[in-house]
Amino acid sequence: MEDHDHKDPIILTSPGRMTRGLVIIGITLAVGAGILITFFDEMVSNPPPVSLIKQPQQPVEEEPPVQAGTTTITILAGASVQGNNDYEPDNAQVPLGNKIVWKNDDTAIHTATSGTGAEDTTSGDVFDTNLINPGESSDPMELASVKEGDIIDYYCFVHPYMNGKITITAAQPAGEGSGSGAPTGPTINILAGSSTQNAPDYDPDTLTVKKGDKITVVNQDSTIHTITSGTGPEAADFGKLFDTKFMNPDDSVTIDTANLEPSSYPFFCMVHSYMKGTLVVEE
Amino acid sequence: MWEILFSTHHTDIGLLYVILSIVAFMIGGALAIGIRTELFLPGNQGIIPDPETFHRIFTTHGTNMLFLWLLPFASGIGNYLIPIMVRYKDMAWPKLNAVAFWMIPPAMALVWLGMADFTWYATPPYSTIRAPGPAAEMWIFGLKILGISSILGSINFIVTILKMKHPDLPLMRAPLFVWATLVTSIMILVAIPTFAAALIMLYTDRLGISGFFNPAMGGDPIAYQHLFWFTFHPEVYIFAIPAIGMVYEIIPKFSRKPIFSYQSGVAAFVLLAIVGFASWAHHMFSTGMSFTEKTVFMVGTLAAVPASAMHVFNWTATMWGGRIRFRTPMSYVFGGIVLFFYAGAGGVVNTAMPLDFLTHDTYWVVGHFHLFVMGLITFAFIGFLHYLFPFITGRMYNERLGMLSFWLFFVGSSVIFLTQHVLGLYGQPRRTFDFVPVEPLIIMNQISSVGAWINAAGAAVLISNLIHGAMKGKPAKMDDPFEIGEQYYDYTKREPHH
Repeated sequence: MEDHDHKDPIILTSPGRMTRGLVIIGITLAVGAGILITFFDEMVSNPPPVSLIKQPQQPVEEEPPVQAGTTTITILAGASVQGNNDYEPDNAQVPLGNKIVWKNDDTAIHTATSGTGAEDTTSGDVFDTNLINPGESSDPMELASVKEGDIIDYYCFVHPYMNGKITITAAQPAGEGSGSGAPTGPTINILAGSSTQNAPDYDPDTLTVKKGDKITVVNQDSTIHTITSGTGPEAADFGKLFDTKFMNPDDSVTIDTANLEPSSYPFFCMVHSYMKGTLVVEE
Repeated sequence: MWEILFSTHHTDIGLLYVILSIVAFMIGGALAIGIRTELFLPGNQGIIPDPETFHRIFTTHGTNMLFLWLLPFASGIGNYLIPIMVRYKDMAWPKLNAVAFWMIPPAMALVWLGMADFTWYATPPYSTIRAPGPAAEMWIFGLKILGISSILGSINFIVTILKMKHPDLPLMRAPLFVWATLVTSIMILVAIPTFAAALIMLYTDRLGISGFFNPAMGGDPIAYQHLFWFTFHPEVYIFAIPAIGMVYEIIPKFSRKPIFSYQSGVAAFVLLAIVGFASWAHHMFSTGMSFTEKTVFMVGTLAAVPASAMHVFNWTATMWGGRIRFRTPMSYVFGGIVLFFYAGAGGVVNTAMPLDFLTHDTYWVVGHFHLFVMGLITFAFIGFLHYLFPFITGRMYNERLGMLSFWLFFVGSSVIFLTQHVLGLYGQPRRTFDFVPVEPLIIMNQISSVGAWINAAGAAVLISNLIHGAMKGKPAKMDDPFEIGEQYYDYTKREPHH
């Protein structure tokens, strides 16, 4: 060992110094404990300021009791691809008090959720269908606290680029609707068992409507059917005037006659071409 | 006495750090004894009057033990030894050093006088929209101050080690404790700022002027957990690496053999520091992460196993064939390694994410991390405290009482924390005031509580031994106080350059 190392002289701790140190620590702890015990409950007496901020309460208006009908909005096949058409109609005119059913014709899961997107803090307040599986329809949605003239944005929670609108129109007079959830206006039912040849198919087989009426088509059968304009699949222009496309069992689709000239239009089922009917449009 | 309080000399400040941390260890331990005594039987035992007080007590226990015992003790020993080990007259910036220390007592006062109730995670949304103030605010500012103190201390260590070390001392010949402190300090600089930001966000969220973590304002509570664990998973290694460095100082001395592989020790420190940042989300497996994320963090966590195993292998190989002398420091360190092995084995179970769903937020986790912070880290710290005791005081503690405290701590800690693993598998949730009164839970909680009382006895023996030794102990033979036939502190051959 070299001798030139600057070893500090070791200072032995003395009882006196040690006692003084312990006294300092003891006094500090005693004072601290006194403060702690005195103010123990006060230290947890204030709720955080954010919990005191009152959310503005929205006055809840009494809704007029309306006989509820149902409006169907279709989620088109391919809607999950960005840029494709998604909701049909994109801006649905819904009478006040109507329930809305979204029918998912796509191969992916979708929703219809009120709001402009997931960042919207009021998202889902008016309605939210939750997830609709491919080929299925949502539960009939009642719209919370809306009034005539309201425009409600909605979107798909899974595909936020899918957007639609609902415009609330005047309530339908009571009595015109045919009960809760039932379609209103002229209706064509595709009867159960119509896929069998020569069995009764469209009910009625010939429907007469006024130009501008909306026809509700309900598939009551257990297989897929269509109502497609034309005399049959061999006609060159079939489906040009109106076409429900493929309707799954229990689906309903609306045909708008506003663009049809007053005339008589034959229609058929693309799947079962022996199923035929006629639509007569009058002034 | 006042000359110590107002000193800027590194040994004085190191001593202040050590004393403060031991005080925190003792009163934090008293809280733990209270918690365990309350849980001796199901239902309200009246030791702790109500669940809210229980929450405040375990929150303060956790915050105190991590930030006022582990961190300051490591800083204290670093302050005491680093300038000696790198052969410089003091820390690089003595006044900054004093400032860093004196930020701790006010922070300690804020944490202790408030006693917040939102656990040491302060997880939103509870911490932002419900946790009562001013305790919560005091906790937030207390931790803010502690974070700044850590950063100032780290800068000081890094500069001292890299710039002030003796020109004749290459970094690769510096003691491994120097490496441990260097790596820890760099990790603190990288990790702490994230949590510092999260604390400010937490505070403004509580005021209602921001909504970072408040779902009602469009915020995301999970974001806080990411920020928090990005700091506090590396923090686990920040706690551990100084302890590992201390083990490296003690084992070769008491095995009377040179260290098995110096280079692999350095490599394992650096490796731990790097992989420590790749595993934070393993605390969050059950928050709904995707399978890919969970897999990445599971692998990142397992990457820490080889680095830890390198240390353990290194220690074992150093002891192998050595003439080991089981004095108090060596016993503590050896016991710590045993408990560290259990902690590591439990950690591998936790990081296997399907198993983590079973153990998450149960007493398994409590047992696991306590084996780590109590087993490895605290055992190494107490062992090193005994090792350094003659150097600091010039006196010897009582060896028999030292060994008695070791055995009490070793048996107590094993009983408490190994039992708690099983409690967790039985499904007892952590942080609860009460538990289901069924026989297995009652019996194991009682075993665990008895272990806590054994630990309390160990702490009483430890502290009385240290105080008595410092006051009236026999003057130590400074060349070889432990009679191991080796040069005791070879780095006491100081040649300070000025």
